Parts: sequence; C-alpha cells; structure tokens
Amino acid sequence: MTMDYAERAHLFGVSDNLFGIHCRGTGPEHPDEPVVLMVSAGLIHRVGPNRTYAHLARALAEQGVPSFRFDLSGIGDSDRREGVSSLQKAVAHDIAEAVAFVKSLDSERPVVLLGICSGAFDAVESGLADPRITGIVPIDPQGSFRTPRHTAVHYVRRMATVSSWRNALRNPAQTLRAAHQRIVGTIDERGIDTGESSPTLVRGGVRPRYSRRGLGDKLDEIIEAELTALFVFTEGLEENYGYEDQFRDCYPVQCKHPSVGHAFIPGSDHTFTRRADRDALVELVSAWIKATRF
Amino acid sequence: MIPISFGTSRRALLGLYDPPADSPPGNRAVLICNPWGALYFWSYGTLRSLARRYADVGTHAMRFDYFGCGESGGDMTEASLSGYVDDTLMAIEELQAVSAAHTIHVAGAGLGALIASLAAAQSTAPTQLLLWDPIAEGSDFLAGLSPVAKLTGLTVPQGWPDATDSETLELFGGPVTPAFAREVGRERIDPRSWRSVRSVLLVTTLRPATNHAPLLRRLEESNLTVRVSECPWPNTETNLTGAIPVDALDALVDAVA
Repeated sequence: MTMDYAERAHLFGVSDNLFGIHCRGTGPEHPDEPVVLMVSAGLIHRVGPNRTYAHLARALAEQGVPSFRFDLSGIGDSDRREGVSSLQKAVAHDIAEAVAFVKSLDSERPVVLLGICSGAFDAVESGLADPRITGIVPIDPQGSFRTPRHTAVHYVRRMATVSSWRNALRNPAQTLRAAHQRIVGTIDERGIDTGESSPTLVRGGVRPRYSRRGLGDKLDEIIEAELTALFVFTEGLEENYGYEDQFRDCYPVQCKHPSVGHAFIPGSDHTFTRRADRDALVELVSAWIKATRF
Repeated sequence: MIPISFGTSRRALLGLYDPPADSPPGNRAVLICNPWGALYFWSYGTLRSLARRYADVGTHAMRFDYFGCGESGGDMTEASLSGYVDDTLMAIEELQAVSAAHTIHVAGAGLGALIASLAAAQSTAPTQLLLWDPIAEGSDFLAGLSPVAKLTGLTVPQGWPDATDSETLELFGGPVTPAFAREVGRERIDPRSWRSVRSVLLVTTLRPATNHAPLLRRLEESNLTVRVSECPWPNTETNLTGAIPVDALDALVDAVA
C-alpha cells in the first residue's frame, strides 16, 4: 500500500511548548486552497475522536489540501501554558501560535480553523478574533437550537423506544415537567436557561454553550468580517440537533448569506464512531473547500 | 520529547521519545505499549505523564502508536495482533538505537500488556515487564466486548467471532474484525515463553478488581521476581476528566529505578 500523504511532527509556539502534525499530499499542491487547522476536541489529543482528524487530514492531503492538527496546551503532547489567567485565554494564544506556525510554512495560503465540540466553540471565537483566519468549520457546536420541529422529532423517536415508555410510567410527573419545559420554555431539564433572555453564553461543560441569540450575533459578525463558515451537525447530541435544516430554522436570515453554510450528517454520533460517518465528514469538508473562494 | 518516524514504508509508525535531561551511559530505557480502542484515547495523557516521569528520573522512555492506531499509518480494520507484536519489536530496536540503553524494560497497559508479553517471547532485550491491568487471557478480551457493545447499543452476535459470517464490530470507534478477535482469543500471557525477562511488576487499578490469580500462579511457577502493586482507581468517569492515577505511576516509575 502506498501513502499519498506525508506527515511531519513539529514542536512550535513561542516556547516550543505545543505539538502538532503537518500533513500534506505527495502530489501537486493547489496554492489557492487553504491549510486546515484542526483544534483539539475536548481532552482528546490531535488524532481527534476516533482518529477523525487523522483520517480527515490524510484524505484532504490526498486531494492536495494540507492540514495541521495540534494539541492545545495541557492536552496530548503539548505542555501547559504558564502565565495565563484563564483557559479561554490559553486557547486563544495556542490557536494564534498555530496560525503563526502554518503561516511560517506558507504565508500566502488561507487558513481554515476546524474543530469538533469544544473545538467548534474555539473555531468560532478565534475565527472572529484573528483576521488571518479566513474560514471556519465548527462541528457540533453546543447551542440552543431547539425548534418545535426538533421537539416533535425528539418525541417521535422517544416514543419508539421501550426505555422511554418505562421511564415515563415510572416517573410520570417528572416526564410531564420535562415535556412542559421543553415545549414552552427557555429552561431545559437541567435548569439551564437556554433561551432568548440569556446573555451571549451559557456556562457549563468544557466550553460555554451559545445561547440562541448569542450565536445569532456571532453569525452576524461572521458575515460582517467576511469569514466563511460551514457549520456541521451530527445526531450525536440529540438534545442539541435532530434534523437536516434545523440550523436554518434557527437562523433563517443569516443562513441566506452565502458565507454561512450548514450541513447535517444523519445517524452520526458526536465522536464519529463509525467509519462511514468519518467518510461523510471528509466528503462534506472537501466539497466545501473545493466550492469556496477563501 | 522527540518524535521519531520508524517502521517500514508499508508500515509507517510514529514514536515519541522522551530522553532524560541528564543520562549517564549504560542507562535504562522503558518502552510503553499503549492499550487499544477507547482505552487508548482515555489513557493518552496518563501515559504521556508516565513517559515524562521516567525521563525526570533518568530513564529513557518511548511511546508509539501501533499500525492503524493514533498517528501511525493504516486503519484499525487492518489490525492484527501479530502485526502489533512486530511493531513492538521494531519499537524496541528503535529505542535501543536512540537511547543506547543497556537495560530495556517494557511496560504495557490493557491489551498492550499482552502485546508486550508476546514481544518478550521473540526479543532478548526486555529484562523486566511492567503489566498494568493486563489482559492476561485473550478470552477475557473477547468476554469484555459484550458489555462494551451494550454501552453503545450494540450486541455481540451469537457465535461471534468464530461464525463464518461474522462481521466487524465497531465499538467506541474501534473496529474489531473477527480475525483480530480470534487472534487475541487464542493468546495469553505466558511467562514460560519469555526469553530474557527476569522480573515482573503487576499493577492493578481497575475496580471491580480483575482476578489475576491464574496469571500470578503462572508467574510464580516461572521463578521470576514478581511484585504486585494495587492502586485502586475509582471509575472511568474520573479518567475522562483528565485526572491521573498517581499511585500507579509511582509504582511503575519506582520499579525501574
């Protein structure tokens, strides 16, 4: 078996404290196409959940698109960053140093920032903060995407499972309360305000979660900054997302703008456990890169 | 840490070598064999810490990814136990070459411990094996797949993996081919097969505890120096937060000092 890609490990950053793998094709390169920078997903090191990043990087390289997958400080093989006051500041520094590194390899090539889960949040935030980044691919960002149709899809699916009926019969009051909260309101089952009255971000998890209005504001900023975005969703966070055009139903105005794209991988879980779902992600991202002028 | 590409053009492997800051000649080195599947991801930070701890006390350490895993070439559907053993033998040679160490220890966690044992049956380099929650019987690995499958909403089919129409199972992102499962099912940690190993450290952290009595019996019958270190570690949820089982690392580091 021959490999159509070449990989090289690098220590980089102002203190050489960060670690990443640069992957490029062995065939002709396309100078207009971007380098895809892949940001850590949660605590998983740079290969990505179930090697999704390694798989994506090699598939893109074979199509002439280079990439750089790296560990945020304190994750995988990157050292902790000293002298920063918050995780978010450390992440912003890490990504800025990764952008500087890929620019040092090829200053003309546009930079696309891609990340799953917490990496999706980081892609949006750094994409807006760093003008050297021209495109972002947030995958399964956590936000407030519930719509009436999402609720309907959710209940239709739940009704088809024995365990849901069993739970409902065991705790009818709790089930009704959850249903009420889901249908009428801005408070979810965990008591978190996810709705219009929240500020931009809702705390919780590895990264904050966008409120509905908060992400809408970010989309406006993305359009204004002439950043190009592809938001990708799976069915893995069922509370988050459940049908093909849910993102458009949440943000109908912004989704009309050509720089805001969205896609859905039905059946995929959040960590791309199945090979077929990793292949679907490769197809989506490579088609978007080919179709986009950065 | 120094990344090292090794292996062959058809079997490209990545190693991560942590040299000690101050290494006297004739020093010792430890090769770390990763566990497999989901455990590989969950233990990554812990094993990196282990490698650094070795380097801090003057021991050369190298981690590496088996073919089809992590940063190495290939896909997990190409997994074979014999291939992983070959990868380990190449990694031992690589570590000997870069470190010039006279004494080689091999540490393995989970399935990595079984792989380390199989490599010790072919190599005359390792003098000590450090077995961390080892899969001592390949059949235990197969038995453990059903509960894992259940967690992901799958069922291990009746007769799998021996049935002729057995399919690949995808468990937590790790495709388990029937051929790989059959291969693992046939193997066990057998101290009688080791060529140069003189001592063993068995570290147990899992709760509920695995019954290692059959393995301990085999070790005792082989006239090896055997130490056991029990370092209970609460649950996998803790592992997922990035916490590190310090007691287990202490035991593994002390064993080569």
